[in-house]
Amino acid sequence: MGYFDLASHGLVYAAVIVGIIYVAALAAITMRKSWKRALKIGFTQDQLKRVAKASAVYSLIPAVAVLAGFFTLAPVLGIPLSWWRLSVIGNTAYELMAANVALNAAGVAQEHGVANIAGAGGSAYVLTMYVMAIGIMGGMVFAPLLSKKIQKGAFRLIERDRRWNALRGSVYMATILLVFAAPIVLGLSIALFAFAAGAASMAVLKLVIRKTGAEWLNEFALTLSMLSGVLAPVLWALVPK
Amino acid sequence: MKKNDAYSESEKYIDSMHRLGRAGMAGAILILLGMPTVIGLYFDSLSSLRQIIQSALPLLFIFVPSTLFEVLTYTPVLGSSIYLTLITGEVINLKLPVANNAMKILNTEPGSEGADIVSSIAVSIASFVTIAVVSIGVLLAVPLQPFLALPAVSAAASNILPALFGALVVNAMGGDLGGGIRAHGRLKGMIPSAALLLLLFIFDRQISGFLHLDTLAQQPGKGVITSGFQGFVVIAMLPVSYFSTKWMYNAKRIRVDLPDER
Repeated sequence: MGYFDLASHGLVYAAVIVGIIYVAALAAITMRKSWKRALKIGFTQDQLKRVAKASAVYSLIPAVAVLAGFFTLAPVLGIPLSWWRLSVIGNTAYELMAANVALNAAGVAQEHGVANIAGAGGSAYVLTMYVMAIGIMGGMVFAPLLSKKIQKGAFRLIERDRRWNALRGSVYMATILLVFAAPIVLGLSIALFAFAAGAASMAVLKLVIRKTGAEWLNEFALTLSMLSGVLAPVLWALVPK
Repeated sequence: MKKNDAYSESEKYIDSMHRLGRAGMAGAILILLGMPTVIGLYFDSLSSLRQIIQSALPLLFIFVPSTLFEVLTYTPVLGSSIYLTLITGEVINLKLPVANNAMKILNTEPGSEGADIVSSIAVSIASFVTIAVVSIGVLLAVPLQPFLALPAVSAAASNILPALFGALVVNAMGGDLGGGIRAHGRLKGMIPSAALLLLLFIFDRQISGFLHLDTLAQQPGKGVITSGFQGFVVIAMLPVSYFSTKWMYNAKRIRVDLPDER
């Protein structure tokens, strides 16, 4: 059987559907447990619903971008595997790179730097599945070994020095932001325009919330700011010059 | 006595979330590896173990360190939701911001049980939405393709991360640490990291251009380290930010007020 015969076979669809149901069920169990515990320690239903609504609204835009990646992956991996890969670990950039590495290793001929998949056999497809899965599995090994210890350390610190724990927590996020924002700001490309528009929208929204007391706006501030930042360069390109 | 009871309840919950996460990861590994095994056996197209390992090695060289860094860097922010986050992916553009946003909305104290819970709810919802959007997209693949292939849509998609980081940077400014705790002058602790990062950016650009690494990485004009290996850079910068903040905190150049002190 050829590469694309396997890539669109019913068995692959069935396996992918089982996998996606598993991941969705895991998310459902995680949410149910957290929700129950949240109510127990004093959060209200209303507060939790606000978080759920804000998270769902925010997630829509990046999820559509993930979907755009589906159309890049599908010609290489077929529909079911692309569907699976974008529903679990990794990101579109990783998936494309991993697929290329795997196809190369499977000995699939390259034409102008692009794998000639049409002539590849079914074993190249199976090898691609393995390589893409194994390549990014590190986190799935390290998290069970390290994450509990890291979190317990933070809990002990809350007991010992609550001030430093809170400050320390903010240092992680600030460093991540600094490292990811630096190439955008210093790169002086169109990305900086998107960055500035996102930042300006957030600043305006924060000011509006402070001045008017419209706390409900907090739930949508990140989504609205991101949307402004995403659309600003696109709209700018449409302005006749 | 009451405090101990509360603590043990909280510990029990966190332990159970880690158990769930670990079991969830074991199941995910089983599915990830089981899928090609079943398909390979069914179609008689199974590769040898040696071939699989040899083929995966180049990726493992790059991604074993970066996934280790992800676990070390993101666990303090995400808590026990790190497991679901790693299983469902899209960490930096989706799971981390959504968790951070949720903690800000409910004003939870960083590293507390409340923050862990809220982050778990946010990450679960984000996972559902991604699965639903991608699944609907697969069903509507044919009618949606022209829309998603529009130049304006692909331009907008490439602006998501810069726009998001612009908003997050402003959101992270100010002294509010969550849970009513406020810091004064905390960004001073980030100055050494920012200065080092600026130097690294200039050096990286020069070296990448000189060695033509930028064209090899298909990122012409960019520094390969600062634009392609940010996970490594975060880990390198974390001790600098951490110890400079700690030093300034100890020297009382950064002040932190608890809620009942204002």
